[in-house]
Amino acid sequence: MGTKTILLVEDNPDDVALTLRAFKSYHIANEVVVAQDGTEALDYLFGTGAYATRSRNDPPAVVLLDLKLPKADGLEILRRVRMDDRTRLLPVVILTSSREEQDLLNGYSLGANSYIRKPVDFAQFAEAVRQLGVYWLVLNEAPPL
Amino acid sequence: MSGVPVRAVDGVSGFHLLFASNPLPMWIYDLETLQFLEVNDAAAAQYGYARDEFLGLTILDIRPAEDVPRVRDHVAAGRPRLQASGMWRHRRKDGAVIDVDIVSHTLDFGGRAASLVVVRDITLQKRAEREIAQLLTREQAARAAVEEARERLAFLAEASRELASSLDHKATLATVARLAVPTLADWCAVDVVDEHGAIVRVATAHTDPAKVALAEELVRRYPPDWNAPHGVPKVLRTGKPELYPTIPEAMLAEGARDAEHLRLLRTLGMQSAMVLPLVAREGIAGTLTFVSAESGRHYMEADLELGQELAFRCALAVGRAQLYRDVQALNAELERRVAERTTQLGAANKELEAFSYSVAHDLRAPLRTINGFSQALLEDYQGRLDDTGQGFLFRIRRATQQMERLIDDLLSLSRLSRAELRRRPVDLTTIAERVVRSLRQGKPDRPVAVTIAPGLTADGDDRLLEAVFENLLGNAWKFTRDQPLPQIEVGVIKQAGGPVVFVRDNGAGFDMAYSHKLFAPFQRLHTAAEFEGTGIGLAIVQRIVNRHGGRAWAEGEVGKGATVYFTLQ
Repeated sequence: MGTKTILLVEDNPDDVALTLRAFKSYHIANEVVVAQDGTEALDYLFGTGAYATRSRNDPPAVVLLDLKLPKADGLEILRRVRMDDRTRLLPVVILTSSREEQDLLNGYSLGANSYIRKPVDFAQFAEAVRQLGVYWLVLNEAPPL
Repeated sequence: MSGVPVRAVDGVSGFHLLFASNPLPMWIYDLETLQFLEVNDAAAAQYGYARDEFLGLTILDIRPAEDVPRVRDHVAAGRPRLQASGMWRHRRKDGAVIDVDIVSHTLDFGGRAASLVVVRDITLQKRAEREIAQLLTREQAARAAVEEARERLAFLAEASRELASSLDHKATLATVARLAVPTLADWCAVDVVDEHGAIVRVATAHTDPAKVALAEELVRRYPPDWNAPHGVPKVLRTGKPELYPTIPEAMLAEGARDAEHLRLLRTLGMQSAMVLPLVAREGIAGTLTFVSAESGRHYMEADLELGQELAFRCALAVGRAQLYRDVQALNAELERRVAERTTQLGAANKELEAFSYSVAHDLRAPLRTINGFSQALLEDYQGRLDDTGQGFLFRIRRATQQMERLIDDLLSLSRLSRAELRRRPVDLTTIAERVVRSLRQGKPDRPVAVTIAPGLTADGDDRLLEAVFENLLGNAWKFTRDQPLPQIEVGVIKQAGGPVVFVRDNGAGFDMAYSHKLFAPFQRLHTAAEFEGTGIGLAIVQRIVNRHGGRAWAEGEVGKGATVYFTLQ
């Protein structure tokens, strides 16, 4: 499954642990970089702050983005990502608890590639993560960034 | 004065024929002594004196005393031989005065200068003339009265029209004052009692603006005193109209506070006045004052009546203006309240949205943790947990799933309350068919006989109505699970109040004793072991139906099935 990284933007450590566990159980070996808030995510993507030394020519294969985050929230991150030429084509999947119509509408309006609702049941959750991995890491041809 | 000697006309019989038996009263009197020298029978009969009595009288004796000087003058004046001396009044012996027309003729009667008088009694004619004159006067008076009444009516009609044209309290009162001048008064003033109990002049009218200013100044310098003996304060106290046919100096002096006040009052030149109460719903609202000055008219009872009529109409108009003002104030208050409630509602809605959003995001996360780590325990520590321990973990996971469903249902119920209702014609038959198709796909092995009435339509929000059928048909589908020949029917009953749509099944049914709990959120009439569910379905149905202005109700019997009815208006 390639070597590209997955950027997981998620502030809840339990969700992080469960997501990583799901990746692991389906043998998705790509590096998963976890950003716990919006600022960290943007730093990673734009090579600023703690990630100032990171190469900008190494974008993640996909960003898994929670919506409710401390500081800059998921929609704000998405807006900034889409505004910047370096990241505007980056695949971004919203992975959230919310099924509110407004969140769906805003997410897609701002250019989300996909919107996945995190199921409570772990079996379903793991299945969703597996399909995500297969789709974005294997089937999907990444945009030429 | 020379008389003409009387020549007998064929002797005695001639005299009788021409004088004594003449049907007109005749006499001869001495021009000097005014003594009657001869009278005929008709005169004696007419005047009630016998011939002998007559001959003892002078012509002055048959006159009303007041006419005597005129008679003397007349006799003394030089006169032609024959003259028509015109109308006179004579007095008969019984004192009755009669009207007569006299023709006289001077002559020599036995050597004396005398006058022959022929009397024509015109009493009846005179009386008739007098009566005619009286009738004419009365007729003119009646005409004048009619004309005056007509003018008053016209004035009142005009006043009513003017008063009706304004809903503004102050404008109405100003109109009244303006209308009264000069038809009814030289001055007209309107005073009202304000909310502090003070007497306030709200309108003054006079044809001359300078005089209006004068009257206004007077009121400003000497505001009315509630205890004043006359005028506005008295009428406000008693509620009875006051009529002052004349305004004597003494009255002015009595009402004046000081010499300057009296001087100003005098400059108004008031001749007559009337003050009328404006009787409103709550009592005496004010007064209407009419004053006559330079016109010199004096008010009488009839004027008072007209004034009262005007005051009555004015009070009606003021009452109406007040009602209008009240209604406007009420409207403004209502609008203010609506705006306030709208703001409150908006705030409450925003709060609810924030709450829902929080529920959607934050309540699920811990469930996912509980569920996920229970699963992790099962997977990673399988060998170290016995069946009971594993069973516990299964229960934990099942509970989190149930809780997730509850959260989802709660959110959809709250979403329903907030969602905008978009009404348009909806084909209910098609929606029901689509829902049933989806149910069949979920459980293809269930042999449910479904009948859906064709051509069911309604005016409503198609997305919401689809949710109604999803819930009702979903329930019917679920509760007919144990029925060997499950049947579901969707139909309509035409009623006067509009169509009633129903979904009927022959499933588990319910006890009507608990029908009131059926539509309450999270109320269930079956255990989770019997039938799964959160108890939100019918609450959602009811909320949607209510938002369409309709209602929902149910009938059922345990073991026989259930029918849910709903209307949409």
